[in-house]
Order: sequence, then structure tokens, then C-alpha cells
Amino acid sequence: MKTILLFDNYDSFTYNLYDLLKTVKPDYKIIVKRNKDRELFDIDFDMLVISPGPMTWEETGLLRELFKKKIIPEKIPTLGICLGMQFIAGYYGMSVAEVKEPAHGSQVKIIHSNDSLFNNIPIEFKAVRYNSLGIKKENTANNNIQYIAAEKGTGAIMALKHSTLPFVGLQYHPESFLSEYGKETINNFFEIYVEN
Amino acid sequence: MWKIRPKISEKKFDWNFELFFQAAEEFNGTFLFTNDPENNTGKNILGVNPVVVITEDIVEFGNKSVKINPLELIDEILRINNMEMNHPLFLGYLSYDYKDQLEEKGLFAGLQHKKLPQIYFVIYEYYIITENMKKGYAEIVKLNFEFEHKKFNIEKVFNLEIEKNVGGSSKYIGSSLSRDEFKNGVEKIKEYVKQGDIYQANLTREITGTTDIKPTELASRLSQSNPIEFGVFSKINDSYMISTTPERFFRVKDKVLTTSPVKGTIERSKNPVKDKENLQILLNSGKDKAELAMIVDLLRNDMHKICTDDSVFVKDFPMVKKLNNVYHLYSEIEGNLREVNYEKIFKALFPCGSISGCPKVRSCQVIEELEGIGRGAYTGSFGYINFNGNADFNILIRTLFYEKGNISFNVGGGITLLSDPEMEYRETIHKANNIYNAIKMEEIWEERYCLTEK
Repeated sequence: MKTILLFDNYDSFTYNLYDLLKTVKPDYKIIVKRNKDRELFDIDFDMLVISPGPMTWEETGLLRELFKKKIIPEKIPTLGICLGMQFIAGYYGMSVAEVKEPAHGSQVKIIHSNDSLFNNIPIEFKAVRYNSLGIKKENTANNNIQYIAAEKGTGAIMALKHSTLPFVGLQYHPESFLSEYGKETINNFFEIYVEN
Repeated sequence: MWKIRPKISEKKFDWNFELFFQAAEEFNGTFLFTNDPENNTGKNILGVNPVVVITEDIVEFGNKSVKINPLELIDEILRINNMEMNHPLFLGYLSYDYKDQLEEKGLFAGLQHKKLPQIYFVIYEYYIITENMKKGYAEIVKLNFEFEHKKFNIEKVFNLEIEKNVGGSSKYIGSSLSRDEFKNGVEKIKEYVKQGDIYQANLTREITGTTDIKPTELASRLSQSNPIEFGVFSKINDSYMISTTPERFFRVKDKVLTTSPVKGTIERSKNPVKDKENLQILLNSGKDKAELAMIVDLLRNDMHKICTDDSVFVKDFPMVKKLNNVYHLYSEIEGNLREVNYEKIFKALFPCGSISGCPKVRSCQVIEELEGIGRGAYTGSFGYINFNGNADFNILIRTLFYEKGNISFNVGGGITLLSDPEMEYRETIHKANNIYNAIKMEEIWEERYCLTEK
């Protein structure tokens, strides 16, 4: 049986993610640990999911340490949501700052760039945003990070992936009840990065 | 632990709310009155003669008291007395401040409002259950205990003479946050939202005063002042809690957990065309729908912690609640509980996101910083738990606390990035004004200046 570590940044949507993961992969074991809990270093897991959460990507407790010690060396597939995505971007040197159009609970339109993460998902779909911070648009994708989806209209970065490592981030919230294709996206992530 | 044996009987008698308020007052009771304002159905429970009283770390019964963990004890008593009876066993509440006991140690500052117990659950000797649609009829539940305790003669309730209301008035002492402090608080929350700490938080202030109106009359006046979903009149030692809340928190029925968050309000019009227009404005309001979506996602999250996998679902979004004077947007979320365990249920759900904020933990910290004092029972939750494990709990807003002529209540609102500090302060005045009118509060300029401008 495979294990997912769900890294909880004291968020109020973590268990929505838990349920989404469980729905897509009922056979996986999911362990939830809060970001200050050192016990997370004792867990063997096959995949990391970084929850959304308050504050900035640098205020995510033990996440940086976990990344350095385990995630990068062992190339563990990682999916970061909202703050989780911002961590992946920030870790690889991109600047995360206040966005021009903050949104909290609004449904927006997402356009993807046909990356395999969005296999069999319409090029344009609806999803919910909860964020005041985001990736500065002035950041051009660097060697490490590729953008794979943006918000229609504003062009705000809505999804990215690492060029060589199995790291994916979503700025929107696939676990929201008003987001479309959450299950399909998560399922694609498993197929591409975890079960290949 | 004790086996409790309930005995149910029926009684024809001419009851009304005034009588139940007075019975609660005279016989150390609690009166809960629930209502579905859309169709005027509702159930009421009066509990009199407390036999088992559970507070923070003590249970008192008969003439004994024992150290306990309150929610563990409640689950234990429920387990021992589990039977197919949809009749009340416990009435009681958790104060907002009790959240500290349900979360990881050290997350919160431990602010406490000293007035009432932080947690309070009672098993009464008698419950009188009535339904608004069945006037003149009541169900009487008498509980028999294995230990000696003070007995009560229920005939006293049936024969109670209702005291005349004698009137009186109330005087203003002050507000825990001045107008400037409140507005600064709003600005500060907007700052926190901008920098990514939270999406929204509820800011409230406590208004204190004195009154010479008696508690039952306060209850009677307040209960007529606005549509009530789940009201409370409870005598707790020498104190009283009077709630006329329009909000429910959660219900448990046959292991199904339901929450029904409300956000967004628009006034109704007597002109049918205008009334329809107003409804459309509400349904098209992106701000209201976004706030409701946020609380729906937060409640889904909290429910997932204790419900079976893939069982939590949003029944409809948004729905419209049609009251006499206003329309509200609301939603309903349902899930199947893994087990009916109230320690787990409260740890997962409490306090409600609609009166704290999102994400919840960080919002509660921001509230502590900006409000500076505990909230006490305000924004806590009062309700009942039945023998069969079913329960119904409200959110304690529009709630007045009374102790020996001193009164206090809070007013506040949800602050988002779009909030205007002055308008938010005025909103608290509008909310307070309803209570001021009901308790005949003297007129204070700081608390009224915006009311004549309409």
C-alpha cells in the first residue's frame, strides 16, 4: 500500500484535500501532519501533498527542511496547493508577492497549456481561488519551473511544474466544491508521477 | 456511572413562552425554543431542576462532585444510556473561549471571559417538550436517577402564575472597543488579508450596561424583536443567558450531520416587483456568494474530519431563505458521521467558521489580538443532545448576558478585503440597535449617530 503525507499548514481546507485524495485513490494511506510536527520525519511516504494555508511560503514550519533532507534527494512526487504551490515556486527562486486581484471564494476561469496534468480536461474550466499572494507575473519561468495554467483575463499563474523533478503546484483550489475537474487533475497527477 | 431511566407522559395544558421563561427562572432551568421562520414550525424544550451539572473539570450530582473531562463524560453517559429515544438528555453550551481546550496547546492566548462557565451541560430531572403547531399539548419526560437528589414537583410548572411585566430601562456603560479602535481593527484585518494570513475574520465588540428590567421580561422583549431560529433562556447559577439567534450550527440525526451556513442578506419589499428585483440582486452578488462559498468549504473541511470518506456533500448552492423581512443566502451540507462522539464532533467543528474566520486557527489568533478580551459564551454554541445521540446546536449570536442587573452583549461582523471600516462600525450599531430597543437602552450618541441618516 502506498502512503501519502498530507502536510498541513494549519489550514481550514486540508481535510477537503484529504477527501479528494481518498476519493481518487481509496487504497492509499493518508497521514496528516501539521507543519511543526517533527514526527513527519519518521514517516515513510510515496507522495507529498502540501496544503494551502495562512501567511507566506517561508512560514511553513518544517517544510524547507523536509524538502532539503528528503523530498529532493529521494525525488518524492509532490503536489502543492495554493501556499503549497507558492512554496515550490519560492524555493526555486521565484518571487511571491501580493497580487493585483486577490480573490477569496470566487470562481474564475482557468486556461491550461495542454500539459499532461490536464489530460482529458477542457482547455478552459472553472475553479475557485483563495489567495492574496501569488507568483509575480514579472517572473518569467526559469530553468526549473514551467507554467502550465493561467487565469483567463488576468493571466495570473494558476499552475506550474518542475522541469525535471516530480513537483507540481496549483494556485487554485481543486478541492473546493465549486472547482471543476479536481478529481481528474489529481488522478492525472497520480498516473504521471506516482504510478508510472 | 449512572443508568438514567426516562419516563414519558403527555399533558394537556395551556403553555406559552412567557410561562416557560418564568419556569426556567424559578426552577433553575433552561428553555430552548427552535423555529423554522419560513413555515413557523418548531420545537421547544424546557428543562427544570438540574440534577447533573457538568462544567470545565467538575461534575456535580446529588451532593457529590467529581473531577472529570466534560466532553468525555458526556460521551460516556450517552454510551451507557444509549436507547432509541429521541428525547433530550443534555442541555448545554460550549463558550467560544472553550476552543482553547479543543485545539493544540499553545496556539491560542487563553483569553477568558469570567462571567459564565466555559462549558456547561446539564441533565435536568424534567423536560417539557412542546411544538409550535400543537398548542395546548406537551410531552413530559421525567428522568429517574440511581442516586439521591433534590426532587421537584412538576405540577409547580403547570400551576405557575405568570408575573406581570413591570418594565424598566437600561443604562449604557461602554464598549470594549471604541469607534476608532473598531475601525483600526477592521483596517488591521484587511492588512492581514492582503498579506495572506487570512481570507476573512469576524471582529466584534462587547457592549456593557445595567438594567432594572427583570430577566424574564428581557427574554420576552428580545424574543419579539427579530426572527429567531434557535433561542435560549437559561438560568445558570445567578446569571442568565438570553439568545435570539437566527443561526443554527449543526444537527445530528440518525448519524447524519448537517450544517447550514447563512451569508448575505437583502431587505424585502412590499412591492412584488421590487421584492423580486432585490432577490435577484442578492443572487447576483459575487461578494455574498464568495463569502458563502468560503464558509461552505470550511465546513466541508471540518465535517470531513469526522464523516465517512466521500460522504460529505453540498446539497445546493446557494439557496434562498425567505423570511418576513429579509432574504438570506444559505447552503446545506450533509455527511455521515463515522461515530456519534461529541468530543470528536466538537473538536472537529468548533468554533464555527462563520463567527471566527478562515483559515480558522489563524483567524482566531487575529481575533484575540484585536478584540483583546475573551468572548465568553458569545459565538459559542447552545443546544441539546438526545438519548439516541441526535442533537441540535445553535450559534450564540444576538445573545444577552445578565448578572444581578449587569448586562452585556457583543455585536460584530465578518470583515473581508472589501470591508469599509466606517460602514462595518455602523453595521454593529444597526445590529445593537435591535437589542437597544428591546431593552430600552438610554440613547448614546456614539452608538446611534448613523441611525437617523437613513
